[in-house]
Amino acid sequence: MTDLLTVRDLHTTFHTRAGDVPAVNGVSFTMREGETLGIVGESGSGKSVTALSIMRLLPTPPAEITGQEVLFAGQDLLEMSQDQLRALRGNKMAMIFQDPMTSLNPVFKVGFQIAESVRMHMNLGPRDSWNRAVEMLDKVGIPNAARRANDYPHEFSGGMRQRVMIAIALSCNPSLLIADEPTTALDVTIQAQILELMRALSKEFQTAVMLITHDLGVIAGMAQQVLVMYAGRLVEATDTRTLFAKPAHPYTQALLHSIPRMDDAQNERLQPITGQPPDLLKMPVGCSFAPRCPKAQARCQRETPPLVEVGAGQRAACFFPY
Amino acid sequence: MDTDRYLEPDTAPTQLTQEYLMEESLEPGLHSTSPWRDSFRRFLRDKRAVGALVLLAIFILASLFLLPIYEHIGPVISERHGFVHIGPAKYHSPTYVDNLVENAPASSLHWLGTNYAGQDIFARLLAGIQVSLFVAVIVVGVMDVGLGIIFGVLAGYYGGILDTLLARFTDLIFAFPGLLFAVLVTGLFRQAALDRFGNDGPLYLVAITLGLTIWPQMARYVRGQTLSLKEQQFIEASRTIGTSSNQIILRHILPNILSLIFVAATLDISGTIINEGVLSLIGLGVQAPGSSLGLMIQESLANIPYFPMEAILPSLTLTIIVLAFSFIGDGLRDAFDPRSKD
Repeated sequence: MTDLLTVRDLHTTFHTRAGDVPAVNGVSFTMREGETLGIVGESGSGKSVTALSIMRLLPTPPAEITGQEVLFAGQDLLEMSQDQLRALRGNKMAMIFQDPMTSLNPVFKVGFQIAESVRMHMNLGPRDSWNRAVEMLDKVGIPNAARRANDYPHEFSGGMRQRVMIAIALSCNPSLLIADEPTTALDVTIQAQILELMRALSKEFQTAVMLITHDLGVIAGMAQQVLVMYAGRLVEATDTRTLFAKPAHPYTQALLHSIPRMDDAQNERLQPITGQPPDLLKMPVGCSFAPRCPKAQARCQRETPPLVEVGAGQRAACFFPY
Repeated sequence: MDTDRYLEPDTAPTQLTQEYLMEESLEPGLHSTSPWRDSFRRFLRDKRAVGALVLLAIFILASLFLLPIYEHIGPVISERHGFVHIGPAKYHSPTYVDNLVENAPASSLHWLGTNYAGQDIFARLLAGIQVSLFVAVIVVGVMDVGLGIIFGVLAGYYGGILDTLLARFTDLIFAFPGLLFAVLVTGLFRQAALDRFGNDGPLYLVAITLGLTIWPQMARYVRGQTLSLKEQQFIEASRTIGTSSNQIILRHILPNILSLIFVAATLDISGTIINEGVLSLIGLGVQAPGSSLGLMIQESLANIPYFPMEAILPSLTLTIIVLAFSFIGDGLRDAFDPRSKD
């Protein structure tokens, strides 16, 4: 498999009145074609901002995106003009969002909204793009697709709307799909259906998926590679198996300890991570996790640990891994 | 007002259930309704608003078509001074002055009588309605909605310097009473308008002046709606599929705020018609012998103790038109309110 997306030293800073907020702080990673990459982290850790920065969808100002390069299929997204980006968005890279209830325009038929993307990027006429929309609705498992394409968003349930969003995202056969917490707003059974659908379709369409979530269970079921983010930095990057078997960073370890496991000994208490994530306006010197880290030492307060290889295919930003 | 219906426990559930069952019995997909059609159906259920709409339609049609017809109905009579034969085209004209039939009561010749100058009141009423509606269309339809949408959407969507300018300009207009501004401007330029555009000049002047004072309010409203809409996820989602800003404004923002603008505009019409009436009443609007409801009220003032109908008829007409627009606006607001989904 070849590299689809290479992000090198991505920085996204929001210039606000209160000061500069480094929402993404030196993130580097690589995604291969057809691969599913999970990004986990708590709220405000920079997961979504990373995704939006890659698509260059953040309003600038207040955001400022800098970085060495963001190579997508050989082209540097940071160097592109908005017109070039627009041609790429929806066509080669697509995105689905957390809340399916507000992701569709209430005044247009869903078929029209799917066809809109097709019409824009695939140079199809109204009839062909409509047919493509119906075909996509069928693919995402909407019964009676030909008829349902004529319905309005309010006539669909949350899970159905998320299916429609997936249909829009995949309608032009993109090579990268960014899913920003696609199942957070859905109940658990629907979550499972949507994830299954995404897995099946990404396989069928050969689409690489960047899956942003704070649900480690979703990661375990979907992703091949995982990035763990904390306070705008990558703290660990590895494959899914290693992440669960041998987490290197104390933060990853703490995360895994804080969720219930089926194979755990009975009556074992969950261990919460004490304290709060740092205020991005007043980032501590040194490791940003140090104030909450059980293994923190004097060095952690002074220096910022770089993301280095700690094992085979496993990188972690910690002076004292494992 | 219609919320009461949902509070009544006995009637509301059965009615809703019945409708629900009726809709479900249809084949799915065949009853697919657009939000606009839904709202239209809800509007039709509001009897007061529909009644107002019908009444207003009658008024509009009458002022447009009954006036020319009225000018053909009636015998040919001889003018009371000069012994010239004249037809209804003349004595039923809203501007024709006949000093010998001042303040005549209603008759087959003058259906609602004549005023202090012997002008036919019925014809003048119809002409007055035309003026009110003309002002409503120009001021609200063109200036209020047009400028309001353009500046509101652009300021809300792009922000920046345009937004700041709009905010300061709106503050300025708000700080200065609209009617006072209109009085000032129409007073200053009335003569110039008369010289340039003849008897209709003051009317245009009034329309433009009222329009100038009313649109910033609409622009601010549209800006607010645009701001909140801009943050909706479907706007962001459409950006992720590569939609350009122009298309987002035309396809996603405008269709979603159009209904709200519609409601606001309908309610603005009432105020505008009243303001035109006030300006005419204090002699800054339509020039006699032209007609306008406000002017008719003003002309009747001196004779109110003796011929009260001459004041009551135009006042009543004005009230009905204003109320009708308000009722329609209320009905539209309820119909478009997403919380009143049924």
